[in-house]
Amino acid sequence: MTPPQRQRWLDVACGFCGCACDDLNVDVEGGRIIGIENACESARGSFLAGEVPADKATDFSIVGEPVGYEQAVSRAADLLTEAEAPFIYGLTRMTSEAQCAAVELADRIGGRIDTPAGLFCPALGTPLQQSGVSSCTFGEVRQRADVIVFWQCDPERTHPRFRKRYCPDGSVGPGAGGSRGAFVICVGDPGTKTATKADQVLPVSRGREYEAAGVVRGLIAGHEMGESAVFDQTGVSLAEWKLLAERLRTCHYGVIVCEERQAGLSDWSNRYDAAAVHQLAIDVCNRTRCSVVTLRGPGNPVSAEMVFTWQTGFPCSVDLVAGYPRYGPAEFSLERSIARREADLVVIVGEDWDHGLESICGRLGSVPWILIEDRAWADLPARPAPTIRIRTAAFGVATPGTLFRADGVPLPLPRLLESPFPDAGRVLADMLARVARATPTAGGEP
Amino acid sequence: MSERWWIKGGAVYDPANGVDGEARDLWIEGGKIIDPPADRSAFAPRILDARGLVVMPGGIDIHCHIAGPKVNAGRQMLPETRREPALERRGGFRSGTIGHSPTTFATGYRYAGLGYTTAFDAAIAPLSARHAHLEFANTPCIDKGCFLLMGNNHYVMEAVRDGDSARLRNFMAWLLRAGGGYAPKLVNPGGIENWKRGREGSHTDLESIVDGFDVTPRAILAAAAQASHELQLPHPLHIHCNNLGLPGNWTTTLATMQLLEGMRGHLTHIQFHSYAGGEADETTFGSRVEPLVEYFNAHSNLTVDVGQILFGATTSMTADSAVGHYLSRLAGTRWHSHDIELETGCGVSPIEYKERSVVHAWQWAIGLEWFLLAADPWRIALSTDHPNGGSFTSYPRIIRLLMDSAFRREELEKLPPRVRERTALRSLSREYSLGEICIITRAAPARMLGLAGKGHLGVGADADVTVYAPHGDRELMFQLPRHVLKAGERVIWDGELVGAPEGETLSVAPEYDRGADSGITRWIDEQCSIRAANYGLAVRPE
Ligand code: SF4
Ligand SMILES: [Zn+2]
Repeated sequence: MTPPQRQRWLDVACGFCGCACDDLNVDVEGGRIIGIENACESARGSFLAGEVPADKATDFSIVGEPVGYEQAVSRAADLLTEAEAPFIYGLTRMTSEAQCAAVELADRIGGRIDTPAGLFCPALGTPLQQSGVSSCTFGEVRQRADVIVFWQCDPERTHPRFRKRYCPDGSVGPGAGGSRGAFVICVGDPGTKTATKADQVLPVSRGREYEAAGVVRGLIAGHEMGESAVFDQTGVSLAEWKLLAERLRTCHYGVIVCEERQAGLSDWSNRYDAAAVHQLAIDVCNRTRCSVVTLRGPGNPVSAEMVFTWQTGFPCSVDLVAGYPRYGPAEFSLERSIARREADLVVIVGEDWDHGLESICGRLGSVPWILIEDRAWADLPARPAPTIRIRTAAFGVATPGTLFRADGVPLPLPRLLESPFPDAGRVLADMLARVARATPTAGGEP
Repeated sequence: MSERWWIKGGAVYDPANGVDGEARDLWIEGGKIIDPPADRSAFAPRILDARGLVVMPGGIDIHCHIAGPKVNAGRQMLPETRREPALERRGGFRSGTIGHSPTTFATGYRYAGLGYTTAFDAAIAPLSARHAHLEFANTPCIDKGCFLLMGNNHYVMEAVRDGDSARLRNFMAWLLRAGGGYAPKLVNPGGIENWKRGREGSHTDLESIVDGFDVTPRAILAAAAQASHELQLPHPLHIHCNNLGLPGNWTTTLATMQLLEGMRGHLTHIQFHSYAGGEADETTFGSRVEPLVEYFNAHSNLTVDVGQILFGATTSMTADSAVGHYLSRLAGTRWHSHDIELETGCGVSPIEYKERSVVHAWQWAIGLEWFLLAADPWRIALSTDHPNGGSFTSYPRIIRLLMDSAFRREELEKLPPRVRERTALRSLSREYSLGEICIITRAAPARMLGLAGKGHLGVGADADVTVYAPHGDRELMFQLPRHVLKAGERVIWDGELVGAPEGETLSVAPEYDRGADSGITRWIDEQCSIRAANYGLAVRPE
């Protein structure tokens, strides 16, 4: 017997939070990850978990009965063929390439497709569709920012290496303002770790982000404002807002960091708030430079939006039942579709189970559903049993492909481990091939 | 599937081989044009009876925006423009939406439907190259490639500042390989960096100093053109000049042409760079095509594409963030800006070109002046800078404007008097021939791009062939080709989409001194927020 080969992977990208740190060094031996450098604690855990061993009873199953992969895929294809209104949901813990396969499946079978972003997307659409967006890559933050505003977020907790990796530390290259380091302002809960490291904290009342953004916009535009009204609306004094407005107005390059769906701090389910922050940055841009950096959740959510957009023209919540893409943020959400009986089969693939699904889970039992998922059943929160379950290769460790960082920078994911399970994209393509055989109009090749 | 073909008796336009509408036969095997087979019955081809039809090489778009983050932001920005008409899923073909920037599959189908078989995205940041290539993989029917943005790249500017031509050349070669690019592109060299640093306005002349780098646009242009020349790239440096869209910018454009003396250079969307006028005074806005074209006609080292505008709504998208900001403020529209570290910016905003706007009318006229005053069709390519000046689907309309002077006059009459009375178009009766249209839409772009196997129908050429039914209305004729073959495979047949081959992605891999690699990767590791190992396409060994 040859001793197990030890292999060291350098500069591995991490898909376990929106930071997408790509400087991890990973040691692999005997099909397991045995060492890791540069990862934060949570990433370390995720990498070391690696591929959870196969569990024959639940990896591939039909109504709880263990079956082979072929059988599971065939039965799934049958359900897809029979369904009149299939809904594909998730697409977070997947490579861009697998997401392409998911949108293709929805297109060819004529279904609806959405991501968790759809849950947070009001009828007015994304900030880009409302007001526009001024943004930048993380490297620009490090190189240029001389004012950074953490707007109702706590990256020290949610994106542990963000600040260290991407915020100015006084040792930067030829970029502009950053060489002195940045003045850091925290708008939000003064108790967070991010706030304790800030130069100034504005403890805005919870749920008052929209008003707060409006106050800063007004000050930047030079409007007079009443002191008590401002305090009543935001919980922060006018004088402090004036300081913030002045910093933004006179900086070289301001950056506002917000987090898309940070439970507990802010109600981002209303993206009017997000649009207000973006509008603020655009206002500042009429005087100097200002970008918004939106931190995203774990997995590959930005990629999902990108793939949706280049294949359908819309970033989420797409209905392909009519034979062409229709956009219905909120309207075509999974929850509403099930509630209104507009979905008779649900395929959940690459879902991260961390956000927003609670309201849906209760309804999942009412329709047949297929779970395509890279974790062991036991590791998932309690869910009603799926009609079909297909286990896939573990995202981020056994799924070569593309990961998009929250700022839209694409990164490669290597295959650190060989998986006994197929890639999610492969599963979807196999299902499509079988559907196409049953219904030639769904077509594979033209 | 690539088949054997005998394209029989068509009026063949193959200007690269001196064929101007003569009835000829074409033979195809293995995706290439071949010599007539010795034994025709043994060859057993499919026969395409082209008698009475016009046969040309497939069209080549030398400058458009069809992939990557900028285009995707444009797609996402205006959902209200994407409702109608949508592209329905049909047979094995994918569905899509159109808007100002069609979705990827729709882009491929539409190009093919127009008789085009090759297109180049003109502005990809190397940092986003992987994204662009993912979109290319979803863009069927055409061969495609991208030009990589280098004009505000910090490494480039440092090498230029240090006068280190070897370092610059090695880096440009490394970048083209890392990003799977086809040519180097400069957009507003130095000007985007200045804009990111908060410089008011975007006006940069060739002698302006780029803050923090102690270089001038002139130095960047000269050094990058020289490096492109030394690398023997098939397409020379692709240049979006400084001061796009600004009144009076023609002097910058002329100075740029002059500094390229003795070197090849391609000036893109030249229409946007040929303006008279002083700052903030609309009444002085006008055309300065004449002095530019005079210089251009006398200097065969230069090529241009036009960037014609058409009236109607579209989306402006550019690496030139300053332009994006200027346009959106002017019109009060949605605005997207995205600064990309070490490399470039990006600006996207909707725009509507209106006939009654003096500035827009001038832009329309200026593009046509270029087409009609440029003496040598081999050095001018048809483009709209899709979607900036208008959609690529409006190329047939431009062709009609060039071929039909009566139609052109009618259109000119609709413009504000101030423009129609002053533009050189009034006295230009030139009409393009079919052979000349074939040059500016395929033969010339192929030559500019150094694509030896494209833009002609000689033996060994790629069997990318478009067959048109002649029609007095040239717009109709070019809108609906009868048949299109891509590498010998049927894509359009009897006007219908019947096939969607993947098409190839075209890139270059210039030779350079590999000893430079470690210095480049060290620089990226230090300066960039991603590791050099993950930069560009970052193809890792499996
Ligand atoms: S901060 Fe995020 S991306 Fe970086 S190592 Fe931790 S989990 Fe991974
Ligand atoms: Zn362009």
